[in-house]
Amino acid sequence: MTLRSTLRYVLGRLGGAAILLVVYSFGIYSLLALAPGDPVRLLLGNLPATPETMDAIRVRYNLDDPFFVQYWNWLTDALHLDLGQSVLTGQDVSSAILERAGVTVQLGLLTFLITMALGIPLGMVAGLRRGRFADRVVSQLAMFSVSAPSFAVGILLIIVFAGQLNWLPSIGAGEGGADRLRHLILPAVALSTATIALVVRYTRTAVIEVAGQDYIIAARARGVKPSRLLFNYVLRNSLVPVITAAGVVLSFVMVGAVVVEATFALPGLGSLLVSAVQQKDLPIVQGVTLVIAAAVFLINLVTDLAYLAVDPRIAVDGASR
Amino acid sequence: MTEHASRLLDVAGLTIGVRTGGEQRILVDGVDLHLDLGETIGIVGESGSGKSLSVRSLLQLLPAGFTATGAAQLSGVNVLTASERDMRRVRGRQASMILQDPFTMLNPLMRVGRHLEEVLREKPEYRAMSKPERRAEVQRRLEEVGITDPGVARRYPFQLSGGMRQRVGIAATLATDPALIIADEPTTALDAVTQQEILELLISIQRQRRMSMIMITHDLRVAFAACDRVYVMYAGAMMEAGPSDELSRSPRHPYTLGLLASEPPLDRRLARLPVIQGELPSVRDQQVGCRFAERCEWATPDCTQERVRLAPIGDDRSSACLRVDEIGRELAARFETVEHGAVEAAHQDLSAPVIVALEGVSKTYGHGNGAVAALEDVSLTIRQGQAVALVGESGSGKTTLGRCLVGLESVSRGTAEVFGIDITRGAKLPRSDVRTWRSKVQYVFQDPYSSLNPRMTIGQTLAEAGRQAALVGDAPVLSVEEVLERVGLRAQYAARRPSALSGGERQRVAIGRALALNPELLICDEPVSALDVSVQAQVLNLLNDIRRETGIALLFITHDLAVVRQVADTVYVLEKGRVVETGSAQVLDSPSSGYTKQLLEAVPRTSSDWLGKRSQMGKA
Amino acid sequence: MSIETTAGAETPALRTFRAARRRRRRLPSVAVLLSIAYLACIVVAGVFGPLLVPHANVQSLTDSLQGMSSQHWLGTDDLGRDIFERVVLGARTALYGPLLIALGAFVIGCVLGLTAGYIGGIPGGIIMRWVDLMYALPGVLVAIVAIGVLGGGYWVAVAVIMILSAPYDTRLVRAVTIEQKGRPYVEAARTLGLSRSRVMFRHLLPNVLPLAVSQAFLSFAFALINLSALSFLGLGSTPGSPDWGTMLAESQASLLDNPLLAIGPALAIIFAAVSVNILGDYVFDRLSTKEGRND
Repeated sequence: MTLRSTLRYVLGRLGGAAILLVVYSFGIYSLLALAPGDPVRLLLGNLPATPETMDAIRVRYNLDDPFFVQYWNWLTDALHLDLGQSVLTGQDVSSAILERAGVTVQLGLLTFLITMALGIPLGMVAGLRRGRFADRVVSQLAMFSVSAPSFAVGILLIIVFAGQLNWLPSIGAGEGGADRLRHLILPAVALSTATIALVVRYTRTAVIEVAGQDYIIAARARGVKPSRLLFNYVLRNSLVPVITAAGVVLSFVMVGAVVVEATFALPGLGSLLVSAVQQKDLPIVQGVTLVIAAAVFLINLVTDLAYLAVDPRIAVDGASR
Repeated sequence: MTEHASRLLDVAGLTIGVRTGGEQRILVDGVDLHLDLGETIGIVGESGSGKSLSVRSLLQLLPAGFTATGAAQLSGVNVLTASERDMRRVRGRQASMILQDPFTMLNPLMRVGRHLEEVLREKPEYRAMSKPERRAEVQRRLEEVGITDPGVARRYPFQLSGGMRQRVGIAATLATDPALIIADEPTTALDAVTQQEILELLISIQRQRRMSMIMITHDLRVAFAACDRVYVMYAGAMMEAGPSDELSRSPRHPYTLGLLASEPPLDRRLARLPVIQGELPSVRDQQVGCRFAERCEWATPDCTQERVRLAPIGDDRSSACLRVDEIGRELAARFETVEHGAVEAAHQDLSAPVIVALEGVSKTYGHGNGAVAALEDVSLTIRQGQAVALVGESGSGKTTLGRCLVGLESVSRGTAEVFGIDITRGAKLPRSDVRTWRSKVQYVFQDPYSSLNPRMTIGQTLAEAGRQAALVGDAPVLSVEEVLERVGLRAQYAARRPSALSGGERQRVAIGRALALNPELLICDEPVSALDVSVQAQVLNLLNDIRRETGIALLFITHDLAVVRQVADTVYVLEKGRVVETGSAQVLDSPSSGYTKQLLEAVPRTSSDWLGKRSQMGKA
Repeated sequence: MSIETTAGAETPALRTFRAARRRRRRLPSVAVLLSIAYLACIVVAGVFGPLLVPHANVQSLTDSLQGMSSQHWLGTDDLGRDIFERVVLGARTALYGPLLIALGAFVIGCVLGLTAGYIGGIPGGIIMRWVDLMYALPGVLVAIVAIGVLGGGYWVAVAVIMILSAPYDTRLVRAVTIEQKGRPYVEAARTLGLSRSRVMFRHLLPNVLPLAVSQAFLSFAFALINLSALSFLGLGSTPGSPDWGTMLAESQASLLDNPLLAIGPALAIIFAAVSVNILGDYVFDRLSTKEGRND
């Protein structure tokens, strides 16, 4: 693996992500044109529809310019972190996003931690004990939880842990560190039911695949210590699929947060998006989607780069592609 | 009793079973074997003989669900019943194992040097070393297996060739300095020339270190050349055992005889290869008696009734054949006729019309700097009814050439005419020409296990080919039954699916599918290399029969020179995409190219001088 | 922790062992039977729902917010409607949309995947760029935005989710096709001179089907989850209609006081998704048995 081939691979991936983001932003922007009805009326929000206000909207959003010019203006503004204003409150979209992002990021990180901390060990145990009791239990649970929708699970959690047992708060984000954490536990558990199952499955499959390889048999035959066998052979070689799973989990969490925030009435990006969609507040919709999409692309990029660090073969293959 | 003082391994009644869906299946039944210090034994058998399972059980490396019973004393430890903790002291220190496939035997994410270091670290003397000394120690151990380039220790396995990886695998296996090394088909995945090198390496190391070695192989010749004594296994049971030179000169079991006989000779062409009838019975229908009985021409009802076990027959030899005393003379006589079987001269009609004419053909993959040439400036002629062999190692371009002739690959440069059709035009050819081309040239693939559509019955597969023949239409279309008969299968096979067929049967069907189009040229790409020796001979005979009956031309693509000798009139030897030698089959007697000589030299021979001059260990 | 050697050399012994394992697994387990039974109930309720519970939508304020009783198994909601009967009615949207999505994505996936995998070239390139783009997108997010802007409704949601699901089927079918097309049996079919469509549909398709069908079950489960999530967010079924997602959303306001409003629909969704996945696994096992394979 040469430095140049690695660099070329990284730049290639970055370029790909940038192109995707531009295509995607164009799609998001086009929604405005696709939306049924007159964009002017949509952008009016709850202002009265007088000829004056309508003209003002036209001028402010350059609606008389050709479509591509409008998009270009929006895109260059977006690159300067200016995503326009909410048509309902007049608040800057970027400041609205900043205000809400905290809860979503905290929820995402907590979910990710729970998922990885439980998913990888459970998957490994299931894989190493394939067909035994532990494996059957873990696999059945995974099958169950992978199919459970987070909002339905969330509601059941509220009923049990907030209602019947009264252990944890049911809704809202709370104030301050410890209180915030208490408020985020149930949402994070609801969100991680599906992702834990995902990580369990990826890890289990990877471990089974690796444990059956000749190099494991050969290493056992020449007396490699069991601990080395587990960490340097099985775990190390299972890492690529596990990284894939981690990437999938992160992007799933970013998107799944939308539904879970609605379930637990958390003031995050997701609930901002949902209310904006319900109220047809297009600048907010565009801004939030763009931010979440950019985050997802970034996660994918980091996943790809993580492969590089783990598997020396990927850099070579990737560069020669 | 001095013998027992030097005994390293003693296995008695080793039985391996697996539980499947509540019932116990016996895969290895009552195997006895022993091994002395410094001795090399071979365990020979075709696929399904249980040879690999038997040795894996000695290190408790059987797959989950498999159980081994019996007794196996390795340096005083019963390795079948020892605890996992005790096994850790056995594995590596007492015995270590080299596996078949060098491409999967090393941890892909670990540098070569680490493979050695991680086991060396268990040794106190290594731990006492300084860093440069440790590096030198790793280097010294790599040099022992013939790796002199100091850069190799820092490379990853995927950056090395197959032969190099196998050397690294051997070095890692030796790093613990075991008393016994088990080599499980260590060279099967390698080219002939590399195989010879690796075997020579193993034997020289074994002698230098005075280790014991168990070599598992499917090739009797390899076992005879490399080992002091050889055990022959069939379907999970031991058939015969004895010193290499005696076993190779006078087999005392019908199976050993059959195995020896069906190995095609390199130096002469037999009118007909001796075969063992039938194929390996599936594990399901096993019987009490001799497992080989149903394929044995000497079998009597007793053979299937009585329990058989390897029994001594004098001269350090043993046989599991119940009738070994009665038929001993017959076996010897039969072996004599095989050794001097009817020889056939290669014959060909050089005035027959040319059906394939290649002139300066090249094939490159990719373009620009990354272009790889698979074929360079190849010229080749095939005449009507001729049998041409295309010989080379992997990467020689032999398969690419065959695939070009049926249009599975396109020719990059040069002129190529097949039955007067310019195949370089590829997709631009008129439909009628494509039809003619397809109907006149057919292809038989190497891997019988994936060359039939698993979701179609044999009848459907053959009927589809028949319909295609009717479309082209000048010759009478063969019915499914006729095709099956021609390839020696009963009509009932039409209703079966490929999964119910053995490898040899599938290859017969694949040949039948090709023949259903009444082609004039049949391209066979390593058609027997995936089959066991006993079945290989059956398929080679079938191809020779078909050729005699129909006058079809054959292009036989193979790496095996002994097979070439049995089928080919004309030989082309390819090396790295170029033809380095061509001529009638007699080139095998007097090759002019150094490469051909090297290939011939590398063909395994029974005599021990094949692997260098090897002094027989004194056993007197 | 010791490491089991699970595979290793593909000896015939091992093959027999695996084959036997597969055979044994073909007997449906209790979980599979329960799944089938539950899904059968959903199908019956989805098709005949209004006939089975004709009074489900009848409001009666005197009966509002009753607990569980023999008359109202899951109690009643704030408008006095029987919750169990409304859950039965909800089977319709849980059945039709996901079924349509799974079928649509399956057909699109097979046609486009086979084309991209076997023919390749320019059409294959276009198909794969489209798939790559859709893959990189956060699907649910696109669905939320698209439906929000296009103006919601159940069938709009169905269409959007179908378009978002098809790339998964396409990618899978293409991958299997590419893996299969290099196999000798396909090359032999080409060498026989069979037409392209015959090779694709007679030889490749049957070998691609087991995976594609099991993917269809996955699509069904994900469609079910996503559709009800959209309804839950108020973007799918119209508010007030008997849809499990909508019912859950409407239970939120008084969740801690009247948990019965939520428990029925929540369990109905979870069990439906789980059953579909269990059945999908089982069907895949059945389809990829020894008869259909070469080993």
